Order: sequence, then structure tokens, then C-alpha cells
Amino acid sequence: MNQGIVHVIGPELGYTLPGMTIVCGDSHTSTHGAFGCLAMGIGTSEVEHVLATQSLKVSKLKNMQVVFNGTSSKGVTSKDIVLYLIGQIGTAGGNGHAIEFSGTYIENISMEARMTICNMAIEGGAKVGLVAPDKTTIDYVRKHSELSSEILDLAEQHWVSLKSDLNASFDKKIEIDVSKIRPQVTWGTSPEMVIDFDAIIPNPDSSSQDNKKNIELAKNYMGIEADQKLTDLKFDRVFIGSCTNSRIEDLREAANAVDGKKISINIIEAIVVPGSGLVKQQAESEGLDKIFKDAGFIWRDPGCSMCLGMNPDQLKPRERCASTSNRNFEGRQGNLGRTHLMSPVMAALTAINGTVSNPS
Amino acid sequence: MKIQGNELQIKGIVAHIDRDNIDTDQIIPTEYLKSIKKFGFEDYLFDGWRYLDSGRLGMKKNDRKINSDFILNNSPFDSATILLTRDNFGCGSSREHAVWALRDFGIKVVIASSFGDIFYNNCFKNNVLPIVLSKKDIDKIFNISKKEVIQLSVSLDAKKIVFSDTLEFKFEVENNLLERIIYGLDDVDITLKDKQIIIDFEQKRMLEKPWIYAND
Repeated sequence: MNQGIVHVIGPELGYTLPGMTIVCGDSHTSTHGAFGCLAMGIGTSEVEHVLATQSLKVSKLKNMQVVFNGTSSKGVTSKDIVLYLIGQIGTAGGNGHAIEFSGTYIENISMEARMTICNMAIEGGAKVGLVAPDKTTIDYVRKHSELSSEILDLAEQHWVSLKSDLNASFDKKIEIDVSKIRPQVTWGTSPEMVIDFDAIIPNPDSSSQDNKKNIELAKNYMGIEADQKLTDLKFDRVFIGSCTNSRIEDLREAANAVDGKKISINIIEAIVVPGSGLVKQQAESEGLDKIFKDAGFIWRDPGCSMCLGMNPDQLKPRERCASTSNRNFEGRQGNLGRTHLMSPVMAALTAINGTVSNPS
Repeated sequence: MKIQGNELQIKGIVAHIDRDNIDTDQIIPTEYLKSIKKFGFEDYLFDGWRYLDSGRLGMKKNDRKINSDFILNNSPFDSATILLTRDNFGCGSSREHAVWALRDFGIKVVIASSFGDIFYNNCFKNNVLPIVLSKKDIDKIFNISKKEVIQLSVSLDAKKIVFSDTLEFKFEVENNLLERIIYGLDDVDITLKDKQIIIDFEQKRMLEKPWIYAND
């Protein structure tokens, strides 16, 4: 029951605590930054170094502040917000930086939603993405931790001090009004190739010379014709899961979108893969599994599944997939597979309609 | 394991791949990350571009359908030791297999206008030198490399790439990282020289922040 994707079970079992330094041999370790941790992915040699020495030599990162203010529109989730950011700064935009996410939007969202945003920091190039601990964080930790209340009281005094000074200076600063953000879907082979779900896909002829080739290669790989929109594309598979979007809140949003409906006859297979045994148990106690199964989805055991093409859950060549995972790289979900990243709500609707469609 | 040190000069043929954002899944698809070995990834480097069929772990180059249009499949680039590419090379996964595949193929130097952070660090653990040059300099080398087969000489101590008597490029890299490559130093050995400092730090922290250890 306590098994699952490391970035889902670390927080839910109460092992991830604010202020910790957390490293793991996986780039989406940035997820734990949602708790105000300095959390980053490292390679095998560095894992070996940590196990042998309890330490790691790390060069100081530059600081980048991303302020998300405002309230998101209906049907727009934290996945849309972070995809939009990556579209703005590019996949190299955060290289060399740790990102601190703040602003009224961040203050008002759940830990699950914050984890989705920090998880994708690495797709914007930043190996660290974090949020200062606040009441939401501490409530979550108290609910999931098995530590005694004496230790938690002591820890809390320290945790509330973990925030940037009011006059802190940042090497880069970005402010985004989230109320203007619409549902985001990737069209290409990099997470930065992302647009509003109903917008025009970039055209190589009207792009700068630098970008022309990237767009051409991506459109060609993705099998997108010159004037096609995302809403014109027919999908073959749907994957709801991964360390980005397999938490209970994600499954509730997706289930809500499919309740009482049936998946499109165009869809060969639509799978829902909870991030952990506990998420699966919780979802089943709420009857979400039944909603998905009644709609024609396959309800699976926890794991990474179709996120990364390392197990039998793979796309066949040229199959098009609506996926709630984090990378749409060439071949990521299987050789020549075509991945479109989106939120759980948008992926659920794509299963029902067979195409990308309007959530509101 | 100790990695052998390098000569101070790395000279070799340049293979170019004219693309931005070449990610770790392009360098080596995840299919091959199931291996628990740290060597033997040479035949899977750029697998999706190098071959016309789908591969799986254990297959060798000779079992595959070769894409003869891909640069590394053609002589003399099949023996290239220097890879020239564009922006944000190695973005994506933290898995070290991406560097191992380059290293096992024989690549000793990667020249790009920028690198993914985790990939950049991983290079130095495996005797592969990532060099950042300006987009303008990268353009210059691309222009020559697309017309003729070129050799470059990389001087590690002088931190420069030499093409000819009249054309060379200086580069920056942190000295402690560079020394790691020049001397093939082992990071664990270096750190364990400070073992007592680490133990003292841990003991102090155990008293100050007991919650970190309470889950153990």
C-alpha cells in the first residue's frame, strides 16, 4: 500500500519535510520543493557520492522569482499554469537557477497543485523549484507525518522562518497574471512548444530563422499538417498518471470531467494510473475508479507506466497520446510515439471526445 | 572506481548535429536505461535517429537497420571524438546513461551554446568535457564543419579550442571541474578527506533539527 512513485510517496508518507535537502536519481525530484525543500535530481555518480559521504558538492545556483498572481479560470489547473510558464521562458529559461514560486495564486492552491508546478521546474531548465512553507504546507505535513506533536511543534517554529526576505534580490524575476491563462496543450517535441488548446500552431514560414528548423522538425515528427489546429487532431491513446499528475486531486478533476460519459470510439486505450497505493485506495473509497471504468478507462495499479517508455506501456509508432506526464520528447512514450502534454481535465476530455476540446 | 586522467590536449574529428534542445531521451532512449551496468551503451547513442527500426536492450548495431543519413553512421564521423551542437544540449533526465552513451561511443568533448544543468554536472564524472561557446562562435564552427571534415584540438590547461593558427576559441570552465577531468580524480576520495567536518555537521544538526532524523 505504501508503494508508488517516489515523488508521490515521499510527501504522502510524511518523509518530505520543509527545509530538507533532498536528492534523488531522478530529475523530477524538484517536486519536493513544494515543501520548501532544496530538492534536486542528480546522476548515478552523485547518488554514489551521497551514499558514501552523506554530502554533495554543489555550486551555488542563481535565483529566479516567478510570481503567479490572480485566480485561474474555470478548467485551468496548475499544470496549465506551469506549462504556460515554460512556454514563456523556454526549456532553457531556468538553466543555472533555482526558481521560487510565489504570489497570490500559489498562496491559494493545495500542496498537490504546488507539487505539479515544482515537478515541472526542471522542464523549464531549473533543477530546483520551490515554494516557501506556509499554513497549507504545515497542515499537509501534520496530516501525513507520524512524528510526535512535540517534535512537530519544535519543527514548525523553524519551518515558518523559511521564506525569502521582503527585500531579497533575484537574478531573474517574472510576474504572471494567471487569470489570463487558458488551458495549455503542447503541440511539439519539447515542453516549451505549448499553446492555448485552440490557438494556431506556429508556422515555420512566419518564424525567425533560428526557430524555423525547430518548428519544422517538431511538426514533421508530430505528424501535424500546415494549417491544422490541436482541435483537428485525432487521438489514439490517453494516459492519466505520472509524478506530475497522479495525485488524488488530479484523479478527482479527471473523474469529474468524465462522470456519466463514455470514451470516444477513436481511442484505442485510455488508462488511469494512480501515483501510489494510498492514492489508489483513496480514489477507490471515493468511487473514482468506478467512474473511470464506467466511462471505458482502464484502472491500473500504481507506477510510472506510460510516462517514459521504460516498461511495456508504450505508444506504437505514430500513435497520438493525450498525456498528463511531463515530457513530450521524441520517442519518450515509445519509438515514434506522439505525445501531447496537458492537464488531467484536458486529457480526460480528450478521451471522451477523441480530440482536444474546450473544458468550460 | 578511478577514471583515468586525460591528456592535456584532446584532438579529434568533429561531428555536428544542428539542433537545439537535444534532450536526454534523444541521446539515449529510456528503453536502454533498464541496464544496471555503467558501460556498454555505445550502440544506443542517438538511437532514434541512428536507426530506422526500434531497438531494445541487448541488441547490437549490426542487428539494426542503419539510417545512412545520420552523421555518426558515416565515415569519418563514426570515429568522431568531438560533438558540435546548439542550445540546451542534454536537457531532461538526470540519468547518467546519456553521458555514458556519448562516452562509450568515444565522444570526449561536447561543444554547445548551453547545456542542461544536471547533464553538465554528469559529464565531469565521466571524463567528458562540455564546452560552452557563444552562439556566434558555434555558428562559425558549424559553417566550416558543414563544408569539410574538420579536426579540432582542445587544450584543457589553456582552456581553448584550436582550429588553425588563426582561428581559436577560448572557453570558461570551473577549475575544480576541469581538474576532475585532467587528473581523473575520484570525488568520493576527495570528499572523505573532510570526513570529520561532515560527521561534526551531522551531529550538530541532529540536536538542532531532530525531526529530520526522527523518520529514520
